[in-house]
Amino acid sequence: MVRALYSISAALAFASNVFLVSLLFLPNTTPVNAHLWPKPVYECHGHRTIQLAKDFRFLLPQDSHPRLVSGAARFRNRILKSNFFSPVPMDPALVALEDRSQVDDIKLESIKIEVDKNTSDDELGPETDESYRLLIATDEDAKAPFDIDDIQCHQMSNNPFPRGVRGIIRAKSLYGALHGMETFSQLVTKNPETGTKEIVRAPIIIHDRPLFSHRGLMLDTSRNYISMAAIYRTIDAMSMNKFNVFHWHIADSQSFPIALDDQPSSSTSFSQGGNSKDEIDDELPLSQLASKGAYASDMTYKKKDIANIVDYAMSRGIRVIPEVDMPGHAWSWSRAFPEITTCLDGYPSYSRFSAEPPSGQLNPVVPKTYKVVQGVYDQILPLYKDKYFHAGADEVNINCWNNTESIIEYMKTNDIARTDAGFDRILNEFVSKQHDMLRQQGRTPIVWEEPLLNHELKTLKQNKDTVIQVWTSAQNIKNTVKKGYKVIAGSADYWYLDCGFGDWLGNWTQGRSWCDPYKSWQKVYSFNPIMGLTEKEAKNVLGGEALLWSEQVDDTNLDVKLWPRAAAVAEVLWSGNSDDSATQLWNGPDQTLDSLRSIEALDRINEQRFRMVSQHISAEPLQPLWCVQHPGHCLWPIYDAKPEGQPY
Amino acid sequence: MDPAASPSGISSSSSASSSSATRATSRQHIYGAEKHSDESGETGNIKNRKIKSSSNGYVASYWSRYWKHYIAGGTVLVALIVLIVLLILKPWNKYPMAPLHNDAVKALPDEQPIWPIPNSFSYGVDSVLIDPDFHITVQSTATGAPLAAGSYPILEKAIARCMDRLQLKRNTTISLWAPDLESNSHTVPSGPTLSELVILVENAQATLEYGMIESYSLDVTTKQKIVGANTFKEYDQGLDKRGPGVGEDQVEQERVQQDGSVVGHAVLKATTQWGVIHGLETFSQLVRATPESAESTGAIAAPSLTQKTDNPLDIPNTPWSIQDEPRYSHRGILLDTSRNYFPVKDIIRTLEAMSVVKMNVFHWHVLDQQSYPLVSKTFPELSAKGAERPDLVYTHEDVAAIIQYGEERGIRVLPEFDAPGHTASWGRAFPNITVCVDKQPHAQYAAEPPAGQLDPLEPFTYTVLDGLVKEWAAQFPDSQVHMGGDEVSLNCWRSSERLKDYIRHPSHRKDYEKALPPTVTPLSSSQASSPSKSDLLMRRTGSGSQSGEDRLLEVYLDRAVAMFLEQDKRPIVWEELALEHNVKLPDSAIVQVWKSASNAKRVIKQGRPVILSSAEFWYLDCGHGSWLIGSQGQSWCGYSSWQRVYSYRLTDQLNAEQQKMVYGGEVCMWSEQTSSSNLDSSLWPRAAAAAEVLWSGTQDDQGQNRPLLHAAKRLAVVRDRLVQMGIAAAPLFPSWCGKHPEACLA
Repeated sequence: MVRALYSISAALAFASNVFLVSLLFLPNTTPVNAHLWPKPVYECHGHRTIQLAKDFRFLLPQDSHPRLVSGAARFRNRILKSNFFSPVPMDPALVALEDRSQVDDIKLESIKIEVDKNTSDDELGPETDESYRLLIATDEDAKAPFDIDDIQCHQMSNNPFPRGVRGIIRAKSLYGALHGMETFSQLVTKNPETGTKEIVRAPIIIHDRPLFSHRGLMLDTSRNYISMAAIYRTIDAMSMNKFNVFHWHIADSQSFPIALDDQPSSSTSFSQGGNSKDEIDDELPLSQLASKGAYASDMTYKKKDIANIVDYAMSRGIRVIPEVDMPGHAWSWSRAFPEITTCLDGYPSYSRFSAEPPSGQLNPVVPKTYKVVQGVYDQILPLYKDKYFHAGADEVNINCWNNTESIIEYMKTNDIARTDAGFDRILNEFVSKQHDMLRQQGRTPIVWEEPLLNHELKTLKQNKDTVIQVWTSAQNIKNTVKKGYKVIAGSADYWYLDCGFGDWLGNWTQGRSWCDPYKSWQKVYSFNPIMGLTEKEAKNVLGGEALLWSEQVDDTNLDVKLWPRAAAVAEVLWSGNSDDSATQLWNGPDQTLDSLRSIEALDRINEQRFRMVSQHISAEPLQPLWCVQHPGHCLWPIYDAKPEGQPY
Repeated sequence: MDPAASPSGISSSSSASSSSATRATSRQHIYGAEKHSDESGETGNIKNRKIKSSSNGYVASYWSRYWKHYIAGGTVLVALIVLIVLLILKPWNKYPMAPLHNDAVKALPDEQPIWPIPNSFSYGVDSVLIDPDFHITVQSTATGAPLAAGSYPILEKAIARCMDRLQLKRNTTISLWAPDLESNSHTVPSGPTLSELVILVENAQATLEYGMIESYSLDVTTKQKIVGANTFKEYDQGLDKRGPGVGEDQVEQERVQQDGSVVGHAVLKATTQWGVIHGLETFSQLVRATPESAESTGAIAAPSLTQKTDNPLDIPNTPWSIQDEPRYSHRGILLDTSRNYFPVKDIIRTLEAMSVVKMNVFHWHVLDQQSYPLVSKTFPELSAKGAERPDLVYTHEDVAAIIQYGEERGIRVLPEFDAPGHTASWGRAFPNITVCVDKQPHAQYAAEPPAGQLDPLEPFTYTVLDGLVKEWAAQFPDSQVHMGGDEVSLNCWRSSERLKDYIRHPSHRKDYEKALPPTVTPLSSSQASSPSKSDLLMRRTGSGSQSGEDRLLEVYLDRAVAMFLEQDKRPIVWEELALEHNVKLPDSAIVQVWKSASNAKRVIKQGRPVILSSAEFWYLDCGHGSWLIGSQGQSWCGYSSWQRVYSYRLTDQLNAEQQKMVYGGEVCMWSEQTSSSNLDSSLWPRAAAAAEVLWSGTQDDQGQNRPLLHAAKRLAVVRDRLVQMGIAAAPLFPSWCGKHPEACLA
C-alpha cells in the first residue's frame, strides 16, 4: 500500500512536471513575469532585462556553515535546471516599459552571499534573525546605497548597466541567506523563446524580514500515515514559502507511529510518579507502542527517520517541533500499555469520552503512566534541538476520568471533590509533571489552548513562559494574550485546511465536516492573527500555523490539501495580507475585504502554484488556466472593473 | 482537534435538517446569482443580483413595517403554522438516511467485498485454490466450441487484464482494510484447485451502445452441474430466465479427476462481451490473496504492507453463484477538459478506474467557454486560437486512442459539444459567429467568465457547425451525442443590436431567417427508412406563447438538432432546454438533469427520458470555495460526502412507469478547480459510490435499503484497489476506522 502510494505520488509529480514543461510554451515574445511569494516587505524594481550566466554561482564567505554551502548548491541546481516560467502574463504597462536591449550583454555571473558572522546562529531557533537584503544592480550602486535602510527606488531604477551587474545577498544569519536565495530563485525565469534564464525588471532591491518569528505548518501523521517521502516533499514546499516551523503532530489516538527502543530495566530516571508505593524499574517495552499501536510495521517513523527529517528541515531553515499528544488522544498507547490508559470504549460510546473515535486517555493516577511518558521523552527529545516541545493537552475529556474507578478512588483518598475544579486539579497534576520532564531537559512546553482557557491550570499560571496554541477562534487569541501568554495563532475558521470534506463518521448523508465549509484560499488569506489586538498584545503573538488534520488525508491527497492554500498562510505570516501590512498588521486594524491585497495576490499565488508544481508538488489549481492567463478577468462581479472591450 | 466532530456527527436530525435547510436556501441564492443568471432573462446582471441578495433586507423592511401586527395578533399562530407546515412537508425526510445496519440485506463476505454489489448472489463455506497454471478460455454459448482465435479481440484484452489483476494480487500488498489484519490468523488456504475459468459468450462482437446487454452470471464451485441440453437455450431466451440452477433436470456432482481429486470449476456466462468484461472484473474481486503470516516471515507483530510476496490465491466461500445486471444502462462520469486541460493519460487513467466499478459512459465535456482543445481538421483555427496553448489539445489520434481504450473496457465515449452558450472559445477563431465575447461585467452575460455565445442569426455559424457536426460524427462512433444547451444567457444575445431587433420585432424575423440554412435538412432515402427518424417529431417543451428570446434559441436549435439527427445521432441536452425555455425538441432527446434532483419528475412528465446528475448529490467539484477572486464566498454548490453521493435515489417520487424513463446518471467533474494534480483524489472513491447506486441501486432485490456500514467497508477496499492500480483515490477516514468500522460509522 505504502509503496503504491509512493509510486503514485512520484508518478503524479513526474506527470505534472512533464505537463508543466510542455506547458511552458508561449507564442509571443513578451517578457516573462517573475512574481514573488511570499511578497517581500520592501521591493523595488527597474525596467531592464538581464541574463543569468550559464555558469552562474553563489559566492560564499570562507568557512561557511555546511548548511549554507549545501543550500547554495541546492538553489544553484534548482535555478539552472528549472524550466519554469510563469503562466501569468506580465502587466502590459510593465511590458511597455521593459528594456530588453541589454539582455544579451549583461549577464549576472554570481551572487555574493554575505552573512553577518557576529550574529549568525548556527542553530536555527525562535530568536534567529531571518532578515535579508537582495541587490541586483550596477557595480556602483551595489557599493553605494545598499547599506542605506530607506533607499528609494528611483535612485536606482534608471541606471543602465555600463560595466556589468552585481548581485549580493546580505543576511544576519545563514537562514536569512537561505530565504534570500529562495527569493532570488523566484526572480530567475526561463525565456521560452530563447531558452535562456533571465531576470526581468532589474535592477532590484529587496529588503525583507518576516512579520512573525513562528510561521508554521502542522501535519497530523496519526489519523492516516504520511510517508517519509511525502514529509520531505512537504518540507521542500514549506521552504519555497518561507515557513520556518514544521509542527509534527506525530502521534494521536488512532496510531502511534514512532518506533522507539525498549527501555532496559532499572534505567528509569524519573520517580515522581504520583503517590508511588514500590516502584520496580521493570523493563519498559516502549517498542511495542509502535509495533502494536502503529498501522503497520512499515507505517512507522524510526528514530533515525525523525533525526533525518529534523536535519533536512533545519537545512532549509525550518525548525521541527514534534507533538506527542497527551493525556487525551491516547488510545494508541493502550495497545502496548493498557494499564496506563482508560475509557477505551469504541463503538458506540466513544462520544461520551472523546471528540472522535477511538476514545482513550492516559490515566494520570497510575505511576507507570509517568514512567512511560518519561521513557518516550527520553528517546524523542535528543532527536532534535529546538527550544520548544509541543505537549498537546487538547480536548481532555473530563467525563472519561469521571468514569474511571482508579481516578475516583484517588480523588477520594486525596480528598478532591469530583467537580470540574477537582478534575482540573487532576489534570494540573498530570500537566505539571509532564512539563517538568520537558523543562528538566531544557524544553519549553507548548500546549493547546484548553488547559489555559478551559481548565485554568495552576501550573500554567506559575509558568508564564508556556506558549499557548490557539486553534478555535480569533477571540481566544485575545483572551490568551490578555493573560500575558505568548501565543501561536490559528483558527479553525480560517486555517484548518482539512475542513469541508463531509463527515467521515457515520451514516448521516447530509453530514458536513464539523468545521465546514472548505476554507478557500481567499478565506485563508483574509485571516489576520493580530486583528483587534493592541500593539503590546500583538507582540505576544509569536506567529501562527496552517493546520492539516489527516482524517481524510494521506499520501494520495496531501499535496492538494496543503498547497497552495498553506502558501496563503505563509504570506500572511511573512509580510501580511494587506499592502500596508508592515505597519497595519502591527497596529491591528480591522481590515475590510477591500484593504486586503487578495486581488493583487491572485496573480502571484497562481504563479506560485505552478512554480510548486514544477518542483514536483501537486498543488491544486485555483482557477481555470484561462483565468491564470487573463489577469483581471475572473474577479467576483463587484470587482469587475475592466472596461468593456479592452483587450487583455 | 475535532471538538465538534461528535456533536455534528450525532446531532439530532431536526437540527441537521434545519441547518441543511438554511444551507439549501443560501445555495439556491448563490446559485441564482451565479449559475442561474439568465432564468428570467434579466437576472444575471448586477442590479438584479443586488435585488436577489438583498432579499434579507426586504424581509427586514417588511418586518419593520408589520412587526406590531405579528406581535399583537399572531406570533403564536405564525409559529404554529410554521411548525405545522414543517411537520407536513417534513423537509428532513426528503432524503431519508440510508440505514447504518440492515440485516435484511444480504451481505457479502468481508474478504470478498465486490463493488458494485451484484444483483443476486449466494455463497458457501468451501474454497478453491487458484492453480499457478490458471487460465481463461472462451467458448461459444451456442456450440460450446472455443471461439476462433482473433474473433474476439476485445475479450482477449479483457482476459489479459484479468490475469494481470491476479498477478497484482500475487505480488503486492494485502489490503490495509482487511478485517483480519490484526489477528495474524492467516492460514495458507487449501482445497481443490481451480485451473480454468470458462467463458460462455453468445455474441463477442456486440455493439457498444446505450442499452447494450451487460448482464452476466458467474459460478465458482467444486460441483459440476450436469445440465439439460435446454438450459443454455433457456438462458438465451432472455434476461428474465437467466441464471444457473433454473432447470429441474439438473443434478450436481463433484468434479472428480481420474486420480480421484476434486477440482474446482468456474463458468462465466454472458450474452455479450460487455457482460463478460464485467464478469471478469467480479471474478478478480472474488480472488483473495493470502500473504504469509507475520510470524513465519519473522516480521514484528504488525504486518508489513510493502513486502513483495508471491501470495497464494484462492476463492473462499465457494460455491459462488452470482447473477448480475445493471440497474441503469447509463452509468457515467462527466469530465470537463476545457476549464483546465487534462493530458490524455489522465483520461486513460480515469477510464481504467471506471472499468473497475463497472461504469460505462465517459461523458467528455470537451469544449467550453474557456478553451477549445479539440483539434478540428475542418476548422483547425478553432483549437489553434481557442486552446489554452497550441499544444494543450486533443488531436484526432488522441481522440481515437481514448475511444479505443474505452471500448476495450465497455465504456462509451459520449462527447459533448456545449452550445450555443459557453462558446467564447469558438469566437477566438471566428469572431463573427459569436456575440458578447469577453463582455464585462461578465456576470451579466454568462454564468462565469469569459462571456460569449454563438450568434444564431449568422449564417456562417451554421457553416462552421455543419462542418464540425460531420467531423464529430465520424470521429465519435457512439449513437448519442450531448449537444449542451445549458445556461444560455439571453442577456448576452440582447447585447447585440441585430439579435435584439430580432427578439423585439416579430415582423423583422422572416428577413433574418431567410439568410439562414433551412431548418430540417432533407434526409436521404436510406435514413428516412430508419426507425429512429420517427424521432424527428418535434415538440415544444413549454406551452403558451413563445418569447422572442426563446424563438431565437429555437432558430439555433432547429438547425443544430437537424444536423445531429442527420448523422444518426440521438441528442442529449441539459435540463434548461426542457424546463426553462419553450423551444422545440425532438421526442427522442434525452434530458440531463443537473439542478435540483426533483427536476427529474418535471422532465419525465413531458414524456422525455432523463440522465440524472443533480448538483445536490453528484457534482464532485463542489464545496471548494469560489474561484472568482475578490470573494471569500463558497462555491455555489456544497461538497457531497461519499455518504451523500451514495444516498442519491434516482427514482425518488417516481411511479413505476416514470422510473423507466430514468436512463441512468452521471457524476460530474467540472474543472474550474481541478487539474492533473487533484483529479484522482477529487473523483475517487466518491465516483465509485455513485457507480454502485447506478449498477446495484440503493435497494436490493427485496426492496431493502442498502446499509451504509456494508458500503463503507467495501468502499474502503475499492479505494485500496484503485490506489494499488495507480489511481490516487483519497482516503475516506483514518486507517484506524478500516479496522474498526463499527466504531467510526455510528
